[in-house]
Amino acid sequence: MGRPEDLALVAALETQQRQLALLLARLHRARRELVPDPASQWRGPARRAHDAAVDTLAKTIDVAVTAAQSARERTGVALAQVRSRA
Amino acid sequence: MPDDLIISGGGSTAVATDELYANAQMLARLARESAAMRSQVAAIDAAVGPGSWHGSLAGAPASAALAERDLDDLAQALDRVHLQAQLLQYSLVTVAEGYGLAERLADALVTGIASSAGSLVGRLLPGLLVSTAGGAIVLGTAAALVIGGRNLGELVGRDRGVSRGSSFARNNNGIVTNAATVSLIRAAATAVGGGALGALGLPPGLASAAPGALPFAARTIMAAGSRLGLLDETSVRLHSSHGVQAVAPPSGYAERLARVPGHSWSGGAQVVIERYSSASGPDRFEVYVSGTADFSPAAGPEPWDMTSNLANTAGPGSGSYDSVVEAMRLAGVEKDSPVQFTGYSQGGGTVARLAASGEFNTQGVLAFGGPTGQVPIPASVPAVLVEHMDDPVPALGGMQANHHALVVERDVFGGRDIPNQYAVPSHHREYYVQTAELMDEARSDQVRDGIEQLDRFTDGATLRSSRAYRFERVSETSTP
Repeated sequence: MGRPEDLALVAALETQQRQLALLLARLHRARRELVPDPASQWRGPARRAHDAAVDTLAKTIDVAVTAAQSARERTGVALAQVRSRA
Repeated sequence: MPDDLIISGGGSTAVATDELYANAQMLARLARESAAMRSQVAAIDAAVGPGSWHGSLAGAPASAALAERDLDDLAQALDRVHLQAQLLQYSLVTVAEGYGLAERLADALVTGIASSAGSLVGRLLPGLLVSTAGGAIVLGTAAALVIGGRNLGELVGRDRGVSRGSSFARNNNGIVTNAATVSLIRAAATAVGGGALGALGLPPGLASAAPGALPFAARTIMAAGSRLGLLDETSVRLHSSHGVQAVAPPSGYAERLARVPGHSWSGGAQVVIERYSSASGPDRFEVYVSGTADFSPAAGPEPWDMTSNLANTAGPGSGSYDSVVEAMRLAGVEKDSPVQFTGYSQGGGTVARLAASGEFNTQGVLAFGGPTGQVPIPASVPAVLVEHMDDPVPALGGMQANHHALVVERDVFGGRDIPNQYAVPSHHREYYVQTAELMDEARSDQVRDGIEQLDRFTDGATLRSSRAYRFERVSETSTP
């Protein structure tokens, strides 16, 4: 791993991996703390509409979590591959 | 539902439950957080992506390019989270605004109709107005009288229930403990105000729109009662005072209500005043004022009576009001001393009057179950007014006109069985304690900010003394 561009790439990928770990923790916290529970006080169509919207929102955050996890894992794989080039 | 808190006022036109507000505020935070995370993704992408300093991912493994694609997906998902959170938050706020608009329209309609009708009656039949106004202003309690209470004291019970009403009143308390009945009482109180001015000849439109119509009606009723030897105001004097055990400033709504004296367990004391010293200013005072102790319309030795209730509606200068002013003087309150008031029932109405007088450096008002609707608390004074929707007592104060105040309502027995140990259970102190505890657990910024502001009053201050005061009326035949 003597190529200067590889050294720079490793540094960039390491930074990316660290930041993705932080971002993932932030996403998990948002999913846990900032998504309302299903409505307990509403009834009928308003309750269904509210709960459906909350459900959609939660699923969208799950999509973001999956993408962040995948990005972090793939960054890790890339990092290992670059490091192995010697 | 019994445990729902309905939040309104606080300078907003919206009306909604604590849960709805808490969810809307949570979604607003999620929208901000997703936008911040989106910026973080853009920064990550810029550091390694095709536009970064090293030009491209040439030379990087395929997995690095796949990670780039994941970052794009992540960015898009966060954009959607931001949009969905904002849309849902706007929907909830719109619902709250819609409730608020509907409520204001209904209030305006009821107020207009009731006041105009009262004004017309007063204009055409002033004698009828005078003879019935007393009954109208206490319509809620009068309704309970109809169902069997022998006097008003039997209806609401006293403090922890020394008197709890006749069995007939208790078994039929659903008539009074009802949000619809309470709305009617509010309208009736408003109508009495218009009616009194109508009796003077003001046209219905003017009479119903006139500010101070309810106080004028109360004065009219007191004048009429005076001819019968009832509702006669007197001067007051200190009966006794004693020290109260307290070690720290109050924290939370429930703790504040717990410091309001109760006649049956405070040795008859009606006022408790805590004095605090702080390094950065003059001494400050927390003043707690109790509820009605004597429900007879004839003034006896107790200043916390029906005469004071009506006099508080009429304006400053009731037996209870004068007693608190004297207690404050004895406690060392000066014109510029910062003061914060907490009251329950009549105490709620009294503290609102004290704040409205402008004679004190009032820093905050907290009233539980007080008839405060038509008492003009200055907009500069932070106020939290707690009213049960099925409690007729706050309704006797007329429509709530203190729109800057945070108004917290609760339908205590909505949808559940009404216990029959009290004739008017929803006014009973233990249910306001429950509501205060729910407020302490509330998640909405409004309710949390309300108590933070009240608690801030004694931040960094040291409790110097806490004293309870008992006052009595001085009748013409009393010895000095």
